[in-house]
Amino acid sequence: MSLTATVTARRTSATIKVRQNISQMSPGEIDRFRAALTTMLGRRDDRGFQFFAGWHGVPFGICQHHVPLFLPWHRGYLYHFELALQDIDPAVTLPWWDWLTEPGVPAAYGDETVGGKPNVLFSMPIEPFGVAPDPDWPTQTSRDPGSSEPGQPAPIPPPLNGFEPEPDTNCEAWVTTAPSYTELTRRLEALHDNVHGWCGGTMRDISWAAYDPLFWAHHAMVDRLWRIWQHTHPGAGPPDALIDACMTFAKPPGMSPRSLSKVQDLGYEYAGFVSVAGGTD
Amino acid sequence: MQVWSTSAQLALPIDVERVSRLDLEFIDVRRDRGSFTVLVFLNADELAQNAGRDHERFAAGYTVFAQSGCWGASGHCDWERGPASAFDRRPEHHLRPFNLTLDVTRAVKRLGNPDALKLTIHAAALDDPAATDVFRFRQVAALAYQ
Repeated sequence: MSLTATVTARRTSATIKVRQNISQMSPGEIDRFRAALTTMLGRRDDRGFQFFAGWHGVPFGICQHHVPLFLPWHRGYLYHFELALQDIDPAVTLPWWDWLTEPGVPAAYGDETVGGKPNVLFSMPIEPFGVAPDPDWPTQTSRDPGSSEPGQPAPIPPPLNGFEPEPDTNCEAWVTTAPSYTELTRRLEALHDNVHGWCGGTMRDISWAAYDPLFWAHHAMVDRLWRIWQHTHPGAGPPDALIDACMTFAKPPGMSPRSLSKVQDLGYEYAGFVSVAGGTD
Repeated sequence: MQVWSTSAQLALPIDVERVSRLDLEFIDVRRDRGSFTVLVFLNADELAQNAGRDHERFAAGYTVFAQSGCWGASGHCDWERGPASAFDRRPEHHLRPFNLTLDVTRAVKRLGNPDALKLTIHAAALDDPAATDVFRFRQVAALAYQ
């Protein structure tokens, strides 16, 4: 007896894709991103927007904050989400929001309508995957940027580079010159938490934040700053005890910080242009 | 808004000029009642309630991204529940309190060479400005590094 199997080659691409600043993307590129996200929103299975948004808070609740796995867990989260988008449109990548230099929410996310239709980047329905909704749960994402009571402690508004965490040091330099991974995490998570708080509304609550499309651009910026820091601190990463920890995601593969350390191994980059010339040898 | 001061001053029997870094570490900060912003002031008597980051005694600020209430059934957010057994390898509850480190080197050096620190904390819940039980933690420590 013999068994015969036919193996179909998987469609693959070895091209490294570049994540772009949302405010520097062309209208056509933003339209393609919106179209992919709209298709993803329409998928009611484990390829859909509601499924992935639910990993962070309701209903899966597996995100990592104020622990050394904060950065690698969210890098893995974005990796899964971006692949789901690229299943729809292989040319699409996750854009990032430069809250260090851009004042406020980028226009692509802040405009309520586009071409007379609701802007999918402005607001999304909240329909947690696989669970019966509680009457008290929000049903639509919202934002309330910069809202706070006058005279009370409040988050710092973007652009965050307008704030000096140390004398003559803006936030970008503060993060990218962090002397260790532990210190990088502390500084970067401080900026991250501040932006979540400043956005208000859905973004302010861990349980619901990932349902806001802006969440993904915010975290791409966090991931980008980590990538820049890695370039000047090669080999530096989470503590040895955690470098091979298997982190939980709601869909395979589970990944370790080590497996997520090089963005090129994950198929993307933030450096959109690299020019190399030969040396003296 | 919550206004809170240390009941006992944090002793600082060191030469601050020789310190390269001085941190305040807040131990077991709770994160189960929503996001909030905290401002820390040092040795600031008679501080106005609307004092901000531009105040001369301001030392550090932080916005904590947190979860607003429990969305699950009874017991879902009981972070104090420990492992089920010695074989329980599941990660700790995601609401387990965390330690928050704030670098206050610059602010302490501005005070000259203080022999103690009195902390005054202003904290506001982002969803409930009237709340007065916002920043909850078990202990605070000052750590000086040569």
